Amino acid sequence: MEENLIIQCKKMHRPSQKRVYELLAPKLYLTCKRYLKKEEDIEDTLTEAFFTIFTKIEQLKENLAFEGWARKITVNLCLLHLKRNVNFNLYLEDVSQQPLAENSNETLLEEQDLLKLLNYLPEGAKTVFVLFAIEGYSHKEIAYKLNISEGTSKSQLNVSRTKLKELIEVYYNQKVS
Amino acid sequence: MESQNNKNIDNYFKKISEETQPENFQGMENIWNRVEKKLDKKEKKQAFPLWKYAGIAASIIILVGVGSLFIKNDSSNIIQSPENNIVTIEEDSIKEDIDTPVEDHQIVFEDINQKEENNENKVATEIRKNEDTAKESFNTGTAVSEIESESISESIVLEEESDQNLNTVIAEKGAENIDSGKTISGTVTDDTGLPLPGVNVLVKNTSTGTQTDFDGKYNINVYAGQTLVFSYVGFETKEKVVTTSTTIIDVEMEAGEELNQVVVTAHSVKREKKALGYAVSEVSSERLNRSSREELPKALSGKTSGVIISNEENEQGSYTQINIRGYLSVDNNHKLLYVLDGKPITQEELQKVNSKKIKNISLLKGFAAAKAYGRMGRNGVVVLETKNQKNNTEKTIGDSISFENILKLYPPLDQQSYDKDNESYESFIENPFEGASYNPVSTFSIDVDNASYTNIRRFINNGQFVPKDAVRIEEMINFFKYDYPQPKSKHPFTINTEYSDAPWNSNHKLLRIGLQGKEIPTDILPKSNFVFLVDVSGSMSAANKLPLLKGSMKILLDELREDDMVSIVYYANNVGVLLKPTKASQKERIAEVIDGLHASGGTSGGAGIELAYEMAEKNFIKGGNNRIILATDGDFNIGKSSDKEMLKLIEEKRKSGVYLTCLGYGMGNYKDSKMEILADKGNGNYAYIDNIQEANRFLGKEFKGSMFTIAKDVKIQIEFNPNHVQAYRLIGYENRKLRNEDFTNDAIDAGELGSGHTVTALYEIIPVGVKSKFYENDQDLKYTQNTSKSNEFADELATVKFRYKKPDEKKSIEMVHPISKTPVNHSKASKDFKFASAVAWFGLKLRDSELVTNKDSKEILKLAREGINNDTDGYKAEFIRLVESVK
Repeated sequence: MEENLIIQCKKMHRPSQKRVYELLAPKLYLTCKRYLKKEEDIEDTLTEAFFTIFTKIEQLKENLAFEGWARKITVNLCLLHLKRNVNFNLYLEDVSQQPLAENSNETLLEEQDLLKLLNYLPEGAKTVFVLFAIEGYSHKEIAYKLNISEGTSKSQLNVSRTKLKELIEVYYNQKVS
Repeated sequence: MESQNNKNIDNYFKKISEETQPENFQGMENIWNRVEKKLDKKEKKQAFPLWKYAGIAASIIILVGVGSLFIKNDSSNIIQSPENNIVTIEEDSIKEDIDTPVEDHQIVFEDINQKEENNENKVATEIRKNEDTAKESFNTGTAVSEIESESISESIVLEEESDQNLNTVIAEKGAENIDSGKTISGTVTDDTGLPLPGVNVLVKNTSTGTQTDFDGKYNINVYAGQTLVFSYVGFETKEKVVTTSTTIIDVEMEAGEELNQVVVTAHSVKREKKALGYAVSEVSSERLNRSSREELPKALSGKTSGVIISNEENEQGSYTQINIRGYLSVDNNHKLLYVLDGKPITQEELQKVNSKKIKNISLLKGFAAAKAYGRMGRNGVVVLETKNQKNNTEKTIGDSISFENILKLYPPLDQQSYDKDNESYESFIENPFEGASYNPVSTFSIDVDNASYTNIRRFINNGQFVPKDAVRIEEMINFFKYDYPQPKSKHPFTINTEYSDAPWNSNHKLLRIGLQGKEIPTDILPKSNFVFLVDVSGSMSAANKLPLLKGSMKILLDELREDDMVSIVYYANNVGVLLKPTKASQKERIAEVIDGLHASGGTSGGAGIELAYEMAEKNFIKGGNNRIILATDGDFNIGKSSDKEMLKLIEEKRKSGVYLTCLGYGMGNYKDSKMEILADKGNGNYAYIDNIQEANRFLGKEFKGSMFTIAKDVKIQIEFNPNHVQAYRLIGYENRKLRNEDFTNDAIDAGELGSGHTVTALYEIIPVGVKSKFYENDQDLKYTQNTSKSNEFADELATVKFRYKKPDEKKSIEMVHPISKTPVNHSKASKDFKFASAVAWFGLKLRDSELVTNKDSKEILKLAREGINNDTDGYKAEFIRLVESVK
């Protein structure tokens, strides 16, 4: 992302902001989608994220880090949303469940659609998995971020792994080893 | 290995998520608009003070500018066009502008005076060009914008900001000018002109509203342009727009649509939780949707009690099975009924129901379900209500047709037939006539039980129909005491036979074989080691189960002698020892433990039985009476619960020398078949305790007989003389019949005889020379030598052989008893004979026997009355009463 654009944004230059939005929104949308299931939640969070990005942009010191900074804001907002709405200690009853393919014909999905499997995880487990596996946070950090205990984080991760393995078997008829 | 596996999964997802290309998504434009709006709002809040002066200055200039434009003749064009032009320029200029740093806004506004001029010139230029030629404007337009790009971009910013400020100013001014609300009053009447009190008057899209008073009058504050909504039950809702000039709105309401039709549903049961009383659990949508699962059966799991939700998989995929606890079966005919908004749906359809759309789920079990939904619902009903159910009333009417069909196919059940459906009885076919020349030998094991009689008594006393398979005639006959002499020889019982006419068929004869067990005086009875195995599962909570069980246990306790040992084992979800072996002298302590029993949970009967045997074996008294007393309703649903498995378990335990007494309680889901098997195979006896009197009889008065075995594996074999007997048939003992060769096989288990017990068996005989429609004598056998043609045993009708073991021995003792062929005239037959045959007759009637044509209650009654003898306890009189109740 060009530094100029960021400088312009710092000046609250609306067309530059729009440009930044156009460049960044698809990426951040994907980020949100990893954490949140409902489309409305994603839209709300994304709106909030961009608003924060544009209003707090003068706090950004290193312009080159803009993208990472924006992502962090988005992730934090997603977590904030989850923290308000999800009980991270609830997961046991969800372990046994196994969703069926919406349309049983399309069992073999595109590899990209694999990410959709995340949506079949319980919300708490999904969040921990994304934070750990995709974002690469440690259990300690996750525990701090979500205000849960480290043990909960670990067991949620375990739940999601077991579940994902099952899901992959169901959808792709293949064992993950 | 495992952790490696986990890492792989993590990396897999990480890789894919990194590979995922971001692309524009739906609603991207939408979100930008929202962000923009938010930013605008914030700017208005924060940035306004800074820009105030500049803004005001700008707006004044613009006002002046606009004003001056108005004066000009071609002003109308100019007012509209700047925006258009700016939009086209904007895109070009921004692209080029990206590299050129834009000056600070404030600076822009400081230059306002000049720039404004510039702008106007620019606009004017553009317009002029537009007016000239389209083509030219394209060519030159770009040239102009290139040259003046800097100033243009600045002017755009200026334009936008000043526009905004302008709007704000206009809005503020406008608010003062437009009326700040006014009061509208009026009268609401119906179509006949009468005032309507209590009409709701609401300002549309707001929460402000009022109601008309008693005279139909109302006052309300509104702004011009708003709409008033008038609504009243039974009338069509009206809307009136408030204009600046209106002050009074009188409304005449028109009567709404009337109900054209009222549909009355037959057998309309209110399916409310309260109305159904019991066995109902409800899951609200809130609880349901707490789970993320969309598939309904899975979303239900863990949300309600008493339901088993299991995942089944087959080639077609996986599906979820819902069962209500206690209604499991192998043959899959215990399917639940699913009702969606009053319409029955199949399991497959249920899978497709989205749990998010469900408002409420009720689970009905047991009789409640059967009553409300007919036979289909007898295994339980899942009632689903969707959230939009009410909006779809019309559709529901159409649906109800299919529901009626169901009612037609499956009539509603009453309590009695429901109970019957859930009780289980082993079915059997009654013994047929056998030809004496082909098969002269008949073998069976004795049966001293009388559970069948007490169970039948319960049915009749409740006014219920007696299930055919619940009738075991031998248990009916053996319920009663007959006057047989006490044994004097070394054998523990006497044999008594009597041969007379069959009361239900004058051509047939009846042979009665009676055993009288030796009465052992209490003081020389062996010491006892009793293990009470008590079922305290949830199904035992009924008044005729656990409370009756406690009562009967105490009766039994009173019969025990001080040295007898008692221990108590319970089973429900778990099994455990309640009372370690305790001397019966500590009656109070034992009674206390019995009183403390309470019912809840499942029934791990198998484990309970194993533990009880373990206890009994641990405290085994050699030469004593080691016995488990199992008290249950026979409903085992955890662990080994199939009849076959139980049988295997019991047969294994039988070898330990511990006897088993089964006490059956309750009704509704009484499992007679299980109890019978337990007692039969476990060296024991079996009684059905229908009330405290029966408990008193079986455990009190007949305690010794019930609890002390004097002979075990008692078998009877009878060989008929074909010279006199054409055909014979054993009445009752259908499930006690033995193969003829098993008579001498000591390994084969048979019935036990208790102290003082009597056993009576009846054979119906077709004598030689009598033509009977029940037995057609066909041709003689060619090769079988008819030895009995000789006159050696011409006087004998038959020979009865008995084999028995002493309680602690393994070798059988055999007794032989010949029977004379001369029949006693029926009028001279003993009273006991008459009574026993009356009981058998009644049993045959209840079983609706095909081998008896005359089933007249009056004749049975007459015979039974003649047979009353030695009836101090009134049981025989009670029997007569029962016969009277069954017409």
